[in-house]
Amino acid sequence: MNNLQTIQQQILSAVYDETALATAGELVHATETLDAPSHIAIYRDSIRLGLAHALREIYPVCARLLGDAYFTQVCEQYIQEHPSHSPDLNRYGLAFPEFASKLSLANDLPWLPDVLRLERSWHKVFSGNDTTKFDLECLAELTEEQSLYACIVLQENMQLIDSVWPIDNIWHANRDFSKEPETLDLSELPDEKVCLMIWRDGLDMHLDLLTTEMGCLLQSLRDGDSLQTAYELLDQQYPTAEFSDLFGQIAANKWIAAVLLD
Amino acid sequence: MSPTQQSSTKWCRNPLSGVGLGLRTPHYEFVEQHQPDIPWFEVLIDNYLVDGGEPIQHLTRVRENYPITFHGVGMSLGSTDPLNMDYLKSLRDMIERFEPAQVSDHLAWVSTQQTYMHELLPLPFTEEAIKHVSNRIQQVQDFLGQRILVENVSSYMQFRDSDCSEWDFLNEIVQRADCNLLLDINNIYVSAENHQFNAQDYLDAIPVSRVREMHLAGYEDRGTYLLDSHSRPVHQPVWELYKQALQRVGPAPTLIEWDQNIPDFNVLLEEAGHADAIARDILDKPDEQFTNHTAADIVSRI
Repeated sequence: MNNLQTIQQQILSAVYDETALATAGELVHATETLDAPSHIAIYRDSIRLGLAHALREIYPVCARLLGDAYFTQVCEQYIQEHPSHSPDLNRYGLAFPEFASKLSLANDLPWLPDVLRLERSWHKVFSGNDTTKFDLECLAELTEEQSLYACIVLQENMQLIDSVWPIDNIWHANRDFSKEPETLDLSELPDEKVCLMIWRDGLDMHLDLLTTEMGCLLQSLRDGDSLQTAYELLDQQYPTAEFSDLFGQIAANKWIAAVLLD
Repeated sequence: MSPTQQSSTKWCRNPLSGVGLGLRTPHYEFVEQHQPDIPWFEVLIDNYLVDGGEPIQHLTRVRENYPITFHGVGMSLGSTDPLNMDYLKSLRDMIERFEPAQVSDHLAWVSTQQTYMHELLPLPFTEEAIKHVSNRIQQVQDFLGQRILVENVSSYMQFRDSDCSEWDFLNEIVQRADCNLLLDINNIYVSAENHQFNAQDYLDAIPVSRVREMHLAGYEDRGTYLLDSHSRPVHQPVWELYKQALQRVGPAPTLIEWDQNIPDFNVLLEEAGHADAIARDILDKPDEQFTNHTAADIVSRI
């Protein structure tokens, strides 16, 4: 008699290794309609379909861009190399962009990994923490000295990403499944990187195209720089940028979660 | 504000009874706007173990007007891995916050070697499995501070090592674990067809005093087997089995499950109405009510 652990291990093997189906088949009865390995294959197929479905839910635009058959093929490869290690299917597929960037298709579609990163960010923000309320009066109450070394804590549930490709345009052109996708000319790269902020206000999801100056400031704040350091960095890289305008936008968008004075 | 503080007295506190429906994403808006006359909703809790956002906000609004139950797949009660305490802590937080009328999971395993398959895999019906699963259910109940319901699953394979019937296996586990039973009528039918046993034998052996809920769903005929797809209306043979279950078990909250190809809410209301009509028909006949119950059964249900 096989113990429970052995049975479970053999079935797991059959899910990820087709050649192990026959061995696992010895664990179960055949029926009039199906041989023993086919009974296990029902589970194998269902498990793999479920994981592919989860990837399709998180990366719908890329699924559309690649087409059903090709996306399924890429999913199959990913599933084979990346079993799920969490009971939460929401967390499955978070390494998919990095995985895709190593495939040969990334040579033909070099923008694809960045669009995948955008979709992953969207997914994370959608189910991430709700916005922390912050009283802007706290900023007004800072002394001049405090405002030099104060650190701004940005909302946790915001995703800042950049790309040399116009991934925001690609995403917008393909996300409405009731319409035909728009055709984009990707033969020429934008003059500068696109910098995007994905965030949520209540239930409203936002994808904002940021200026590079704003991207620089947000990155600096996210890195934990003090306000003074962030100001100097911005001034150094973008001498014409207006720090106060940019910081005002950050405050108006409720992107500030807290101010640290330590 | 702590989760406990959030769950103030605003929640709807009706006792669980009648035919409920699954709370599913496409119906959030309809339910919140129209507040349909449904006695309770089942929440697939694994979809709500997130940090925030839309699912939690909808659940909060629905909970203000309806009793709910939590139904999960992530406990992996049959797994030989250690219990996933992070999962159970998240579940416990949600229980404290939303106060579901009952919490259920499946008599199955979904993970092994820290790999989750997100599929309800059946167990061999052996003494080893009975001991193992009973012990884990007790641990879960101790941790959550309440009895849980375990649900019989549909299965597409039967282990050679099994040395008893599924119903004996189920009975032994609910007794030893001192847990309750979520009796899925469609799952009994699907497994009976797939493995060629008599569904009536299954029903006859059910420990009625432990049944706290029943499930109904539609299966899909794949030619060589029936698949518990939750994608169709309840089939006639399952309605018939439901009638027999009601005669044996008596009144129990019943759920219409529909998780794929989810139709308009009105279709679900019709299914729920049909189940309700059957239950009223069966249970309003005193001669047929509780025919197989002992006095102890009835007392223990009260």
